[in-house]
Amino acid sequence: MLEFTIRRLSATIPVLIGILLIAFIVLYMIPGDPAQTIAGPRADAATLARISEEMGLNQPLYQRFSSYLSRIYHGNLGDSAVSGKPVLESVIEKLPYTLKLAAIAMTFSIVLGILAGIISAITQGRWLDRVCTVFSVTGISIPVFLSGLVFLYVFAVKFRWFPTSGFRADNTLMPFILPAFTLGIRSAAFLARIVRSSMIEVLNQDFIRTARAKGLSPARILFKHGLVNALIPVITVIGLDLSSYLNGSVIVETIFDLPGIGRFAMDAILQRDYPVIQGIVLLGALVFILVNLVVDLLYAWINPKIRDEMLGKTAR
Amino acid sequence: MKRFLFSTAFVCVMFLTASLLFNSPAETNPSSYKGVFSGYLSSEPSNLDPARGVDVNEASIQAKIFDGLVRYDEKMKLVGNLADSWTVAADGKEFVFRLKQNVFFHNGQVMTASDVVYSLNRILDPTVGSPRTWVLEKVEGAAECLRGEASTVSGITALDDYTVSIKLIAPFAPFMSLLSMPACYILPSGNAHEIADRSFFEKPAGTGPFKITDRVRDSFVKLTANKNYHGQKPHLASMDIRIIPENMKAEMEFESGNLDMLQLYPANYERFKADPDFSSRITDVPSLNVFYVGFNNQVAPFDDARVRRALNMLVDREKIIKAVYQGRAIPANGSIPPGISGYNKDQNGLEYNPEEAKRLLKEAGYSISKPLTFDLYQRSAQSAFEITRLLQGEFKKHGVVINLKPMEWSALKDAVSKGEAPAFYMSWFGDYPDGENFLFPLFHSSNWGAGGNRARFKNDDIDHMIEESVKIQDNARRAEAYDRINRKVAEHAPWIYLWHASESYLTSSKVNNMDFTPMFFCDNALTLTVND
Repeated sequence: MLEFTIRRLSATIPVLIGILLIAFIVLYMIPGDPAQTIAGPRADAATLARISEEMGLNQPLYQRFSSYLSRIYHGNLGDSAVSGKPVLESVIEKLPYTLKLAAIAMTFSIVLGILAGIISAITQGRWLDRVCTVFSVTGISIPVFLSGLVFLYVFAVKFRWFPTSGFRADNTLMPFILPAFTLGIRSAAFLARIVRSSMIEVLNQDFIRTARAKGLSPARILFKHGLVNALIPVITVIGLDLSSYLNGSVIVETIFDLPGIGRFAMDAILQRDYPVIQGIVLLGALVFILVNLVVDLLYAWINPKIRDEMLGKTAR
Repeated sequence: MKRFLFSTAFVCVMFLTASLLFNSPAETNPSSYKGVFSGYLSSEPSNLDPARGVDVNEASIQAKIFDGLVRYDEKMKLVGNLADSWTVAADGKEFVFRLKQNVFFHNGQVMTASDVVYSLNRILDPTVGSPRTWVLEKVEGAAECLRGEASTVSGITALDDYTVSIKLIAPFAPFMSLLSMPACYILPSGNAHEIADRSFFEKPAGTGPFKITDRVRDSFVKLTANKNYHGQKPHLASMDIRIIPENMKAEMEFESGNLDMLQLYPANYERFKADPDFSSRITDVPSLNVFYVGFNNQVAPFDDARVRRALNMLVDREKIIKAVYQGRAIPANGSIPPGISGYNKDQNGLEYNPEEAKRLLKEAGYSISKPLTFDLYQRSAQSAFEITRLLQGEFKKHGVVINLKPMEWSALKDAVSKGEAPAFYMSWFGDYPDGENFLFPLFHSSNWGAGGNRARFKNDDIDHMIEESVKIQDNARRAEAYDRINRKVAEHAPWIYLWHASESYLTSSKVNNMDFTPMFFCDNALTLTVND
């Protein structure tokens, strides 16, 4: 397991450099001059030149990239071109909001999704399965900005069960419930579909029939033999969702006023605040890589056959 | 399964623990002043450094925490702020300000002439990288300082602890207006170190009527009344200014009673106006702005004045104002808006006249069979589409084909500044209430592109007229000169002049005496009261 972990970790460095390079080139190519954003609507040529120089925009791309890499190597993500605040400091300030949101959304998504998927699988073709299917298809189809606004209007404005925003959401979880539900419902729906199909597949296999023939209790068959074997695709989906939640949801954070990473990233993109965009891309990529690593380790843990294959050992 | 459940629970617990570790600061504010005003801004005022600010939202916060030497009051009259009085030399080249005494910054430091000299010097210090250097570019020694040849600006000096002199290289009558801008707000020189590393601006200390007592970026700014304020003291105890980027969200918050003020847009104006509960609490405020369709005057087909004039005559401004703004705008006959020097309501010969437009287009070589076709660059926003789609429809009736090119704001500014956009829908909001602000940046040939003259208009006579007008010290005579220039520019029709739009605000029933000013930095909430 240790060898596997080390091998996976060492592969992350070229991936990170690749991601940074792509982000760099994309930023270089998109229209919009960061110097003009900083300079405002009335900027003379000299001011623009001065700001460009200060931001290093005059240097050739390779030079900018190499000095950026060397800065990162020294643990410096740079300062925001707009506020002058260190990028890392801002990210740390915004992280708790995104973490809380991600944790609650993930909990919603896992509990609701797996439950609905199991119910669907064991009542396959019957009315309960159909009800779950209708809910999950609806959940997948409705865009977050719409469901967010509807939940906000119904549960916060009309019924007043929840606060309308995350304004001063420091010490309480209440303002996070509605946004987390909005965020989690979509992946819960998706998860329900995956759990249903992989459970149905597993439950139709020979070893389940054998287990039934042995007289094992239905619950034991379902959870010990059924669910565990259906987990691999489920963990993949959870891993991907978790990575994207940890990178912040622009729409949910905007609708519910949560000052998390997603909004920070969006503002930076609109203002062409290069150091912030690059910092967030880097940290986002790290999160994706780490979560994927954890997912791979979980695969190997759940199914030793996978670990052997990953290490190049022949499975028998 | 047990292991799976355990790992899931473990992950969730880890997140919750981590999130608690990074908790944000809590609010504290005991104050004997009365009432809390709940307002909002559409974007985070990320940069509160006056010398670096160009954003309206940032300026509206800066205006409440800082003071300049002078300010425009709620009635748009220029009054002293940190300056008690001032004199202007007969040749218009030297300004001497006598400062108020016993004025304290929020951190307890006394404000003196050295703070004024320090703050104004900062704007021209090349290491600060201020985008507002043009505000003081006419000060003696400014150019040398900007080029790094001098460490201080020779024209800004402290004559004693409470007297400051500013010398200009040439007379420039609107200078006092420029000094009222947020860029010229005064900072405590005692904090020069924190100001240089920018940590000062997290919760900056000014001399203004409110001080920042709490702040979470992208969430809110809490302003608390400054009880040591040197001027008329605010009535409020505090203001909670939240950051709400979505109009729809702000509307919900207002209706839930969580906001005391809501800015209205054409999309929701009619709904509130029709509701008797709200209609009496709506205030329409004429704003210093001009909306226009700019042409790149240097490229075909817009290098032909006949085409530019004809397109002006195809716009039925009154009709569009009625349809989109519910009448809350004034047709523009030039760039200068009503309410400032140089505005004249007389017609300019570019009024709606499709017959004359058709004749001009024919003369320029266009007809139904050979239609004039061009790309109109615009912001990819609903508010822009509301106008451009109407123009597109109207123009089509007269055989002029517009292809809309919607773009994100930064990309649009870039394309327009580089002269890549043949035509573009934009607006200009005043930086200070003087006609010069609507002439020099917009039409003087030295400001092509990002400087403000996005139409790349160039006319030597007009350049000269603008340069001469700012030397006139007498306000009435200078206003006449602006008016002449404004009309002369209109003869060339470098833009389609559209309108000067009002802004509309709805206030909650708790709010009284809210001053809505045409300039975003003139309101410092001194008169505002809120009943609990």
